[in-house]
Amino acid sequence: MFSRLMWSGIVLVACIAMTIGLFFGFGSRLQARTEAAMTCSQTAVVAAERGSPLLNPDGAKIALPQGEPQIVATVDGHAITAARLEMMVQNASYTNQEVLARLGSQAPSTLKAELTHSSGTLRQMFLTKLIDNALWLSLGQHDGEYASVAAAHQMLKQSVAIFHSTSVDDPAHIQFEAFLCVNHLTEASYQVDPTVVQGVQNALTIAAAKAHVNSTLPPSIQHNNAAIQAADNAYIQSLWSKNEVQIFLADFVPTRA
Amino acid sequence: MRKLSCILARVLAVIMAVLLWSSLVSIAHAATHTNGYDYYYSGEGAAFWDSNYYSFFDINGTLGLDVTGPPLIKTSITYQDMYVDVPNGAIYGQNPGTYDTANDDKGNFIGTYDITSSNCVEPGYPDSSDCGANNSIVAPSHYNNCPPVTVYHHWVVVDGGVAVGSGSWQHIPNPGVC
Repeated sequence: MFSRLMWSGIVLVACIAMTIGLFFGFGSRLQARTEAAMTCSQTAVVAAERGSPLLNPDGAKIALPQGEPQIVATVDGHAITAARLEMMVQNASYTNQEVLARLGSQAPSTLKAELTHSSGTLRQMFLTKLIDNALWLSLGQHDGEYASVAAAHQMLKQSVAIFHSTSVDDPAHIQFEAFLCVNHLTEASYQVDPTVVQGVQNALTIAAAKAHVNSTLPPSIQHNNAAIQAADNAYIQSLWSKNEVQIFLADFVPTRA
Repeated sequence: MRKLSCILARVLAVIMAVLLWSSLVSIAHAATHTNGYDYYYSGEGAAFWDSNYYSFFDINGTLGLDVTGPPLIKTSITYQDMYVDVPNGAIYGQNPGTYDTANDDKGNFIGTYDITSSNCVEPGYPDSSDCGANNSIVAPSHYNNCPPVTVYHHWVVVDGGVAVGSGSWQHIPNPGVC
């Protein structure tokens, strides 16, 4: 009798446990299905695609302002195209407007001023940045600091891990989905795409070149953001004069944020 | 029959052990949303996608801003507190100078953090204890007491004049402590 009671108890507990297990299992499957449902046709993703960069803007039909040349600058013979520049201007304008709309009237004036630059100002800022980056990259390559493919893969792997940790309705999650969609990538191909990998290598190399220059600054200013920025700007301006930089954009004035 | 019962009992024991372990893991995961202090952290946008770098950056808002990501990449964070949502759901204090009366951040709490340097002192809070090592920013000390209401933090990551990411998190008073 006792044995039968004990077995009944065990079976009852097991049934409850299995029910709970099935419940959580169903929940996981439901969540997985929700995640899988995030597609390129989803409204939020489609909207975010407007602010997503193209890996190959030169192959896309990007409207150029009237009179703007196809090549807006060259750095040591390497061309910077108007398509890339205008893509950055259009994406930044859209993204800044989106963020400001989300923040509403509560956004402080300093932030509003930073995010309401005109297209003309953004154009000057981005062309300056593209030239600066080309020069920093050249410096890093010259100094043997070019980041390895392995370092880029590590960073991309880390990115995917963070992506998985975000919820499907997180703006960052949606932006990444949009980036994959407009560039016809998957999570897997994103991590090995040659343009993406090279872009990350370049970013890491630029950062390493800046860090190298900053390490030569006097210790008293190595923790002073404004001083570091000023030193970076002075250094990059010296590189402009040492390298062959040609600008074809009319009325260009170097502009740094 | 007895042998069958024995096998069945072992199978059930294994199933129950697995379920117990799963429950413990779930509890441990949920606990990461608290910080051991007197408020909960909750919020979206704990990470942002920066297409300039083709990468995600992780912002762990558990204790202020703790940015973990690839080293060396310089990104500034323009970060602000903008309003407080009182327990009844009304929103007030849109002027940054009027909220959080129990704490000391009554003035503008708007600053630009450089996540890659230790120079992470907030304007108005020249307290080096706010700065952490390894490119991280630890909790400002003035949050280590009970906030009177849920405090919403909105952050915007601005890189070269472009908002590359934004989000918010909340400091919710911990009913178990406050």
